[in-house]
Parts: sequence; structure tokens; C-alpha cells
Amino acid sequence: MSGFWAALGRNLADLPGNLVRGLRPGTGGEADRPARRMRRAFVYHLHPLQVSARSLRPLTTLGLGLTALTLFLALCLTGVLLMIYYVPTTRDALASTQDIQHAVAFGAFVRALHRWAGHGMVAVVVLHLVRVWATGAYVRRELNWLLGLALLVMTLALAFTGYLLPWDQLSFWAVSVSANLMDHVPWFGDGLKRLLLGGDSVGQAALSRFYMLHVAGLPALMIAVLVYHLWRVRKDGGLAVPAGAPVERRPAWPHLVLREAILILLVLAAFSLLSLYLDAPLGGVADPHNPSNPEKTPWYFLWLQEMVSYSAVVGGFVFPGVLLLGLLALPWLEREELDVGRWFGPRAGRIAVIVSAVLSVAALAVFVTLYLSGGANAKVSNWLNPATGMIVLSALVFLAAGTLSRSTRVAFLAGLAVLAVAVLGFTLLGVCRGPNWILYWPWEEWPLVW
Amino acid sequence: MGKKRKKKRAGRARSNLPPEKAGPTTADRAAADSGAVAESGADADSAPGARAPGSGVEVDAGAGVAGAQDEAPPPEPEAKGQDSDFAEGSLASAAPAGETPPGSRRDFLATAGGVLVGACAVGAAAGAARLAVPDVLQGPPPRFPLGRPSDFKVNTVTWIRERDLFVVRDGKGFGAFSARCTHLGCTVRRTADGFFCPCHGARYDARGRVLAGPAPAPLPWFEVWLEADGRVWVDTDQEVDSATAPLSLPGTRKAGEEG
Repeated sequence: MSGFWAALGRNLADLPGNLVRGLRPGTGGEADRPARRMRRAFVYHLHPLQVSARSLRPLTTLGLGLTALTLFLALCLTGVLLMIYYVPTTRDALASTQDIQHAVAFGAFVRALHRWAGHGMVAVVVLHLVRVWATGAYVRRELNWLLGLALLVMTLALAFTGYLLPWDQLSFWAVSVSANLMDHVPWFGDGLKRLLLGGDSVGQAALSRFYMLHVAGLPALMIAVLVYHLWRVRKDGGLAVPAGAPVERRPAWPHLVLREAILILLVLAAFSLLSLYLDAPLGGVADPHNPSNPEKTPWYFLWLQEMVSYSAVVGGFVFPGVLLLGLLALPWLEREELDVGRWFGPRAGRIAVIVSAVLSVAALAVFVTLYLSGGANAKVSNWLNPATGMIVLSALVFLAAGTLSRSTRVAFLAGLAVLAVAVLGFTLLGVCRGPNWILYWPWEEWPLVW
Repeated sequence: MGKKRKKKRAGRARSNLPPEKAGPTTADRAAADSGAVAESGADADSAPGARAPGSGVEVDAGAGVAGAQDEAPPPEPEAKGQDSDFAEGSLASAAPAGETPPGSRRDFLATAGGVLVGACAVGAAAGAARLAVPDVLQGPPPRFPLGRPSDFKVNTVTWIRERDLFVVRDGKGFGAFSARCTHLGCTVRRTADGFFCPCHGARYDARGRVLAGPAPAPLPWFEVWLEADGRVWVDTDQEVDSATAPLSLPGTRKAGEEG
């Protein structure tokens, strides 16, 4: 009897200490060592014991992969919260989104965070691709390069499917216009469009499909591929290191882990601040029979839309096809291990990229000016337009740079740089398109049109 | 050929039986073939990957002994004469556990199994994709009545908003064409001399022919007819050539040609 009371009293007195030890295995004495090792082991499951000192420098990767991963996790969390209220029907979608925006505690913040993190993830994933291309980090890592491309496509698909869900005028027409790009894909365009939209135009069937893809199908696929992608990074030996360079090693804990934690917190803080002060836009209810003027795709498809406004075939099919083929072929045709991990590779590579970029900007300006002043002759512009011009220029620069430098690295750096400038340039042109598809400077006010 | 196959069999037996038992067990299957016993037995003895007799016997005693006791004599010494042969066998058996030598039956079965499972997966994926392609489309039917002829005044263009259609009537008759831009599907708007797409600036004349902009084709015209119920009907699945549409639209067409 007394033993019972004594034990109970002792345990109560020891409760604070035991709570700490009991809930945090590994913080106690010698007996807790296995648990402590397991916690550490989780980190070493992601990272090797030691990493090269090079990979600790911020400029090596700019932390783009980890930023993308952080944003993806933030998107999963905020997305699940939004699902509590969102209703995926054409009748209730906008109303439920308005509820989230105006009548749900922290709804506007969570929605804004989801929106801006989504846009941010698209941008960061693209930059991540640019980094891997520019540093030659794809050499001897063919599989992970392809996995990365798949993740880029999935990121775009996730952003695109999410764009429709609010069912306001902006989202409806942006998705309509983008989906109709598929009309210009030869042979299988119609089937593809029906598969995606569940019909010939955007309606309830499309909304149901986009919702399914956005909240279940694509995230599940993405998590699977993402895990494989991260695992491959470690299996491929961590970050790419220039061949022959002396490798200085540092323990991953705490050097790498600390830097990663700081980056994650910075990214979360930046996007949280942005979302506090900048609401996600939400327009009036979608009118399927009355587009606004102008009507634009989301910004990450503006380059496609701009090119399709020159020529459906070249803009919607040939140019993206060439770009995709170039990216798919890259790790198979370019296998130089020298200068891997160095931005823009050897000295010749840096020169080639600068020359090629300057040349591309000039050529793009000339092509666009000629095209706009040349009047619209549909038959000619179908093949003679800025998009075709940039494809030809890219091929020429690729061959010239390769022949002059005798290096496949330099050839691919210069050739793909032309396409990168083209994508960027067409995106900017798309941004400048105003009412009646006339170009306006971003600071110019648009005239009022009906 | 037959000799080679036997050797692989021996390799398999070795992997899950203690070395002393491997020979006899294999022999029971290969009893009809002469030389098999000797080969497999010798193989097992020389295999670098074989388990130490001590541990193997204890663990696998049941299975191994049961298979071994009733049959086959122990390996015969003449195996020594086939040195070169079983050296080759040893090489094959040197492969790490779990890997099958190429060309073996196990290798064939593994490949065939993989191909079969892969084919099933592809088939299932194709079926799932087919499921997602609708056989029945939602939305109103393509054939529908526009209204009585008297609903449309002569020399007017009427916008049927819900169906993205323009209905024209002139002195000669009726016509109907799509209000959806052939570029990216936005609804076009009327202008003084024709139509204009607000999305990407395509311009059409009064008969829907492309004047400027990115539109790859003219606005499609559809078949219209006077049904027995006294109403004008249209079938948006039936495209007709705008030139043969039964109307002239004197006023607007002239303006279109000038532009």
C-alpha cells in the first residue's frame, strides 16, 4: 500500500525529467545511444557522412533543388488545408473559393501561400534545370536528368491543373486557351484534348479531371519520382565535382544540414511574408461565351502562346519539340567529364554562351520587328516567323560552336542558350500583349476596350 | 548444348543445398543423362560461393537429406577428367547470389516473367487511359432548332450566345457559322466590317474568312435547313463551304471585300 503511494509520488516528482527523456529518445544517458544514433542515421540516410567542401558553397547550386522541394512540401500542406472547403463543381467552385478567401480563418493567407508557392515552384524548377544544364551536372547521370525532366513536366502540369480550380473568368479562359493549343498538335491532338478535358471544351468533366489530377494523381506520381530523383543524387555520388580537382571533404553534420535548414526557413519566411501582403487574385465567375480582352495563358505558357500567335504548327509543335528533343538528347550526346560542376564549363563555354546570348537577343529583336512590320500574310508567316528563326539560329550556333571549340559541352551550351533566350524573349513579349493583342510596355496603361 | 544446361542445373542446386547433398539431388533429375552426376558433384565441390559444410548441414538438414538418401551414388572420381569443363562452371557460379547466368533457364524465366508483368502493366495503363476518353460527351446535342424563320429579320446577324453561333439571314436565305475563333477557341466579336477575336487579335470578314492574325482557318459554316416543324435547324457536326451557303449578305459582304 505504502509502496504504491511512494512509487506514484516519486513518478510524479520525476515527471518533468521523464517526459523529456521518454518523448525524446536519445537525449538520455548511455542507454539511449541507439536511439540517438537512429536520429542521426535519418539525416545520413539523406546525406553521406561527408560532402565535398564545394557543395557547401551557395553558388554551386544556388540551393534551387532544395528550394523546389521545400515549396513542394509547403504546397502539399496548404493544398490539403484548401481541400477542407473547396468544392470541385462548376456551380460551387468559385463560391467555395470566395469562402476560403473571405470567410475562413487564415483562408486568404493559406490560399495566397499556395498560389505563390506554386508559381515559385515552377520558376525554381526551371532554374534548377538551367543550373544542371549550365554546370554540366547531367554528365554520366542520364537517368536522373530524365527523372528531372519528368518532374519539370509534372510541376507544369500541377500548376496548370490548379489554375482552373477557382473557376473564375481568368482561370477558365487561361485553361481554355492553353487546352486549345492541343488543337494544333497533329494526329493525336484531338484525342489528347478529349482525354484531358473529357470533352471538346472546358466544362464540369474537365474540372473533375483537373481536380483529380491536381490533388491525387499528379502529387502521388510526383512524390514517387521525387524520392527516386533524390535517391539517385546520392547514388550518383552527390553533387558533380570537376574531374581531377582536389576534393576537400567536410562532415555533412552540421555543415550541410545547418545550411539546408537555414535555406528552408528562409524560403518559408519569404513566401509567408509575400502571402501576407499579396493576396492571390480571384475574378468574377467564368463566362464560357465571353472572353476578356486580351486573354492569356498562365505566365509559364506565355512563350508558347506568343509563338502560336505567329504560327500554330511551329509554335505549338515544332519549337517545343526541338527544345524537348534537345533536352532529352543532352546527356547522351554530351559526355565530357572535364569541368563538370563548373558554371558554363570551360572558358570557351563561357565565351560561347555570352556570344550566343547576345546574338540571340539581337536576332530575336530583328525577327520580331520584321515580323510585326511585315504585315500578316498567313501563308508566309506560317513558316517564316520569329520562332522558326530562333530554331534555325540555334542549330547554326550549335554547329558553329561545336566545330570551333571541338567540344560537345560548348556546342550544347551555346545551342541551348539560343533556345533559352527565345523562351525568355517570347515570354516577355507575351507579358507585353495588351487588348487586341497589341504590344504595350509593362508600365503603359491599357486603353479601355469592350 | 544438353551438357551446358545440365551444368546450370547443378549451379542452382548448389545455391540452396549443402555441397555434399547437391550432387545426389541433381542426379535424381538428371539420372537419365550419363555424366551429369559427376559434373554437378565436382562443380559443387569447387564452387567458391558454396557454404561451409558445417553450417549448411545443420540448417538445411531436413530438405537436403530427404532428397539425398534414397537415391544416387556419391560423385564419382572421373569428374577430375573434365577439368576445363567444370572450371567454366565455377566461373558461372562465381556470380553473386541472386544473379542468374545469362542464357540459363532461370534467366529465361525471369526475363519472360518480367516481360509478362510489364505487358500486363502496359495493358492496364492503356485500359485506364481508354477509360478516361469519354464515349458519351456531356453538353447539348449538335443538332438543334434555331427558331422560326420569322424570329430572324432579313439582313441581320444574330449571336446565339449559349451555342457560340452566328445566324445570318439575307434576302436569299439562312446561314449559320461558328463564333469560336479557329485559333484558340475564344468567342469572336462583331466589328464594323466583320469579326474580331479579343484573345490573340485574329480578324475575319463578314463571312468568317481570315483577314489578319494567327487564325489558321476561316470560321466554319454549318448546315441549316427548314424542318417539317416549321423551324430552322442547324447541325454543328456538318460543316459546309461558306461559298455555297445560300445567301449573299449584300451589305456586309461588300464591306468585307473592301477591307
